Amino acid sequence: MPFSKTLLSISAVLFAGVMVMLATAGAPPLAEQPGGDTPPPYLVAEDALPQVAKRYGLDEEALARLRRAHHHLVEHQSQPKPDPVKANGEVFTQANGDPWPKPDAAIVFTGEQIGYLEPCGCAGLENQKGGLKRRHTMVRTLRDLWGWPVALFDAGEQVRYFGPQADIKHRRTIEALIEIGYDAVGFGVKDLRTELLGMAINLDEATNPLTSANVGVLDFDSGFTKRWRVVELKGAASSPTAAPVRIGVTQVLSKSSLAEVSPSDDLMTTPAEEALAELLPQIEADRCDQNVLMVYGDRAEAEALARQFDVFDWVVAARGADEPPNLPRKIEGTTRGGGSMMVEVGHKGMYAVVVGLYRNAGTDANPGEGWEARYQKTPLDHRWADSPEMAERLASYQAELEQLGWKGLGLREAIHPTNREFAGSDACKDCHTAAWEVFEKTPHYHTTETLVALQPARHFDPECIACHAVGWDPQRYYPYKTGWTSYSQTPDKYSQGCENCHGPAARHVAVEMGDLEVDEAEEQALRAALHLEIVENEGNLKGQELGKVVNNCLGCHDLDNSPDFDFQKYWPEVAHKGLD
Amino acid sequence: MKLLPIALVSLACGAGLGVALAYVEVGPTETAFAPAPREGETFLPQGAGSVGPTALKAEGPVATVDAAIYDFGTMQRGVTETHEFIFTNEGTSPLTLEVGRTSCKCTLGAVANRPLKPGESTPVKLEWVAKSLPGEFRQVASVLTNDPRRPTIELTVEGVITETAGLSPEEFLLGRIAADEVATATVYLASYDEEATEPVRVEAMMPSSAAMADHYRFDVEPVEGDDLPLERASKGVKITVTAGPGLPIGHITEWVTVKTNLQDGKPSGAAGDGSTLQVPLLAVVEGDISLHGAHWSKERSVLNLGTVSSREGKESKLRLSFKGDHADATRAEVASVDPEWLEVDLAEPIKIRDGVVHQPMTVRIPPGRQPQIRSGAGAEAGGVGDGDALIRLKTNHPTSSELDVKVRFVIAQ
Repeated sequence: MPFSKTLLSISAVLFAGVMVMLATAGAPPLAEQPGGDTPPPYLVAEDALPQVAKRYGLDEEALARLRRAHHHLVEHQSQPKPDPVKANGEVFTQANGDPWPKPDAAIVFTGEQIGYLEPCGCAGLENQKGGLKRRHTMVRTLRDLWGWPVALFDAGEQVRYFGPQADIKHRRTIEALIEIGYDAVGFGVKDLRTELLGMAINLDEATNPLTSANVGVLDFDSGFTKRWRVVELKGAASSPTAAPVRIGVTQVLSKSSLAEVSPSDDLMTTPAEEALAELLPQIEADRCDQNVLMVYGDRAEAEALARQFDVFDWVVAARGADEPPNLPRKIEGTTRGGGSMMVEVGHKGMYAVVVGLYRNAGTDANPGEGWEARYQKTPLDHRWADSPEMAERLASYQAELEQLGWKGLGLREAIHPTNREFAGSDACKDCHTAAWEVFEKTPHYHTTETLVALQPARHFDPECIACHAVGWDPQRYYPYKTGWTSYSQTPDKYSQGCENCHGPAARHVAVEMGDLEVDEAEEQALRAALHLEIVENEGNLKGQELGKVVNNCLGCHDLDNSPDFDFQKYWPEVAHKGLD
Repeated sequence: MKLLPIALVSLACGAGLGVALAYVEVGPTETAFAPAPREGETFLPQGAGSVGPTALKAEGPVATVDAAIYDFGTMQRGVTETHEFIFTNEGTSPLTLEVGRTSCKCTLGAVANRPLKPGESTPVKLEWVAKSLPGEFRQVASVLTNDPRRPTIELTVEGVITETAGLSPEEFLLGRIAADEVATATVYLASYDEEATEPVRVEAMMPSSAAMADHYRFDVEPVEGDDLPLERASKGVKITVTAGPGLPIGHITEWVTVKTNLQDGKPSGAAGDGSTLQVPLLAVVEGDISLHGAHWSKERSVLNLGTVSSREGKESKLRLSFKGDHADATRAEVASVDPEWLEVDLAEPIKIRDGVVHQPMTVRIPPGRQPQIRSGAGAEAGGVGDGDALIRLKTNHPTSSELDVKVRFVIAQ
């Protein structure tokens, strides 16, 4: 049947053509991205729940909650996800729908991760941007799938807080960035408060990307950090010259940032202006095609440095606005190659800024001249697959938190501001039966187990458990005395329970149960202290009354983790009254 | 053989169909092309500043906006601001506008519900509630048009959010201090209220629940506007904490209670009449001899090597740090290792600067060791196996002659 064969051939090639074109318009389908064919599991398997419960010491009741939490998460996962292109726009696509031509070189700029190794999934990961897993896949798509020569630069500030968890996060972020292939990673103020020396001595000098012109670990160019790097990218075959592209890069902390650095024997610092003046002869001698200055400072400081040292093509202001602009802006008063361009990277690692560089002149052009550029503010949303390698690293991070425990993470129980202690939600249910009937049907009831059902489990992470169990400060990530510590020690402090809103109730419970005798006035005072009243038109949106009740909610339902939170819409789901 | 031409034609058709399908799938998109900024041309990307006139009077609808980026300047946190962008149809046929995507924290008002006739203009209002943390902000919203040259027009608002009162720096940062040291740290608290008549009054204290609360003392002194390190501040105070000596070794994060007379940023009345702040106090307290390493936990005094592959083994580099009067003369050597096969190397000390000497140390689990657990208290104390491994170092330091380094690991196949 020659006709059928021809038709089949036409159909096959047509299909291939369609697939090719679809694959190159923006991000490829998840399964076709590097690592996308083996997505790391988000949840533990349903049939593994009993083993998981055993591993973490959950009793029968907790296992039942775990099953409910798991079911709830599976249901959520099965819902249609919002289209990331509709939500955040297309990427690497020209106005006519064509993909970018392959650049001679591309630079990926990131920074200001401030602790967000992954986006919090409370509101559904599909609604959040960021995370190392997606960033790795995006980079691999450019570099491995599309064959772009890529330089990777991070402007610094991997962490936000202080203490052992920040130390671990910084170290693990740098290790992850090395695996992703970063060529240069600068420092932010909070990075310099971590155990930097301990991390740096364990990095291989050949792959260590730590870069700063004005901050050195023990000394400048000590082998632990470098002041100036030249990245040489192999010329793309599509390039008119096929010549390699040389990109020089350095990073500085601005004056205002340097003023926030705490004294440390391990650090050597000097003002940014002096450091760049010292580097200038080297920068000019290297005659790189493109030069990059990353400033851990605000836009004004970065622009001033760019004008003072007019040898940079791209200048990053890491402390810019929360969201990068749609296109870079020229820095007035600069001249190299037609003028330096300002890049901002946004906050929380939600975006990577990608600059595609196109050589349109011969290699004999002056450094910085003869280039065109394309710019993409790349949202790291769920159009990018989760990298299995990064997922493994994040699992290992959670395992380290588990091994260290709260004590190893430097957490100490604090006295609750009310000076009272927690009883756990089970103590409430015998009297407040109607309220309990509502509570146990809500997701608040199994928030602790929600963390256990994840892969990996997150209930050893202070930044997660603080909003998922009873008796923690939700915004500062430390436990109160008699708050949750573990399934073995405090099994009754599970859930986003009653006392997280109403306050610690141990004394009230003891009095009501007859275990403690107090006078009538104190008995009434203990009841009153736990009472919450919603005021008229109470809510968190414009024109509503920001009362005590909604303020409690906002401790966890904050802009990061619950951006769509609307008290007046959410409250009916959990509405309850006091005593029956 | 006609297969090759058929294949080529089919591939071309497939590619064309692919483009068409992709176009249908993703819809018309805005370019992210930055025109050659390297050749002295004015860099005027789409969406930035006033959109330039088209070279020829274009047929069909032509959407223009007066200025696609608007700077709100400085905004106090919590305040709502709006701006109207003016859209004009400079084309020859009706222009339709539709609200597109917005970044999650701003709101784009309704756009004209009827097409704009050629030459007609309409405002599009963007509202932004300054809820995010103080600092620079940027919000983006898009308007979809039927102008085939500009199917999406991005509108941007930006500015800087400030508080009604400010704290600089935002924490008492004692940094890395010696256990026998007295250290100080300062923060400034100021009001931005230009009409403030009363001084800022403050009472700072460490809550009694804090560890060694009596080891902290607070001093408050008034500071006038020009002497404050906060721009535009009118009145304020300098709060200094004096801490130590004798603070516990390890990380310290405490929360200092600062009672103020600031009411919505305006000073009024006595300390305690206004808002109360919780200001973090941060320090790392070290002894004369300390250890630094990627997996070293100061809090637990444990080198945590985690799970180690039997085939690969594992190595961890550390540094012993000697400080104080005896630093230059202090040396450490290995006194004992349990298990004996755990490899420990101590290199020659390196003088970092006067009073600071480092001695590099390497701990190595060699490849090929049998699977085993060395973690925690050990079976004798209710744990598992032999418990933590232990490296005992001896030193010639006059007051710290011994240093125990516990090592925790699980060797797996």
